[in-house]
Amino acid sequence: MSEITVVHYLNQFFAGIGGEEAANLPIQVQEGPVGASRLLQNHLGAQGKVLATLVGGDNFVNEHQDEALDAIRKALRELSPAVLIAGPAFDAGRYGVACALVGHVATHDLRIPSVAAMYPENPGAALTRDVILVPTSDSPRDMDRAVAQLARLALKIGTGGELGPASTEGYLPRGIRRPGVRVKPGYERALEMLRAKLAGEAFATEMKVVGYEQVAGAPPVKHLQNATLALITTGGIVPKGNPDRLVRGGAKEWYRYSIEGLDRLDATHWDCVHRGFYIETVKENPNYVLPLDVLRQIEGQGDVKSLYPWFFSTSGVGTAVLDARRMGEQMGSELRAARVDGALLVAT
Amino acid sequence: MPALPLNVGASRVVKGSRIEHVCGNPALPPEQDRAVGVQIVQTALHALATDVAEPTLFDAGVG
Repeated sequence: MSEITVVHYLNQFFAGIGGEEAANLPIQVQEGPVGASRLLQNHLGAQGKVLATLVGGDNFVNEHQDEALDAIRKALRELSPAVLIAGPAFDAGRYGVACALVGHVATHDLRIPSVAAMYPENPGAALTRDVILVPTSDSPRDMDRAVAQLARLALKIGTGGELGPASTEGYLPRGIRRPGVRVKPGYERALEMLRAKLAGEAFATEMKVVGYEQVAGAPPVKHLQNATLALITTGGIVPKGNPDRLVRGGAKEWYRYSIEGLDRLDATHWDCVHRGFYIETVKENPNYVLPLDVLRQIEGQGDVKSLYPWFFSTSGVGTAVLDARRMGEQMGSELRAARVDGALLVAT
Repeated sequence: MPALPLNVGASRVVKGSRIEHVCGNPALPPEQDRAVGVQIVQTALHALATDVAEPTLFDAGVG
């Protein structure tokens, strides 16, 4: 078999260029394998060749989406690979979204098959059905296994091969059902499932319902002048010294801090704890993610009646959906009990 | 970075300035920096007072 050609998309970190300080990097095209692509090249062996590595800063791709995807489209047209590979992104939200978008451009716009890898709860995982997604753990400890699986699936789709079902091939189900013949007819399978369910035994559904839970928007706040508003942030604002030991990521807890009598948050008394973005700017001026200064001005003008005297804080990076839902419910029940009319949540 | 919250179903989303300084822009002189923050927070208040049927983006019009 002749070798297939591959283009690999990586973020600034996995390309070895830098961390958050390099997250604004525009799209770069680097010849051959770079950074984590070298591992991919090892797994492809003689069957595949990484022609080029496309590198994009996580902030750049998310904030300048059109510009970034235009650059990706142009590069892919010129390189014309047999397959595009993106990631693994693990639980990194911006990177996961970037991998999904780049894969979508390849497959949807240019008919180049694509495969990406990320944690199933990564927001990028729900963006497109065009990209084959390899599930990974939430941490780069899973790198070698994930890249090996990316290489295996890429070699298959890059040579025009058909993938089997998600469960046997090891990719995330896309909700696509193909016609085929099973050993037993539907009514027998349904009755077997029902019997197993009633008996408390394991069974595999054929119609798994996946995706994010849809939550209806709250009714609007009709009279802001009479409203009490609460401030919430997932930007990790804490009092200096971090007395509750809020973790920098993967938080399972949130904390409340008093803003009674404060006109703004000053850098001497407040700090930022978060591993998901470049925090130095916020450490100097915490009001950028908890805009108390602006809200006191608006309160003073009478545009809102008052601010709830506590703000809620956690670090919103790598938190599991179930933990996020529980924290949201806890915050909501406190605010409801306190007759707060609305909440502003600043996410970074 | 509004694509992310809209995708997971947040009902009212306001586009901020940047991830590193959502409610302002330290590259601008202090008065303009503050004006960016005011614009974003006012847009959020407008969003709170607006009925929405699905995840909806409110653009404060500041880069």
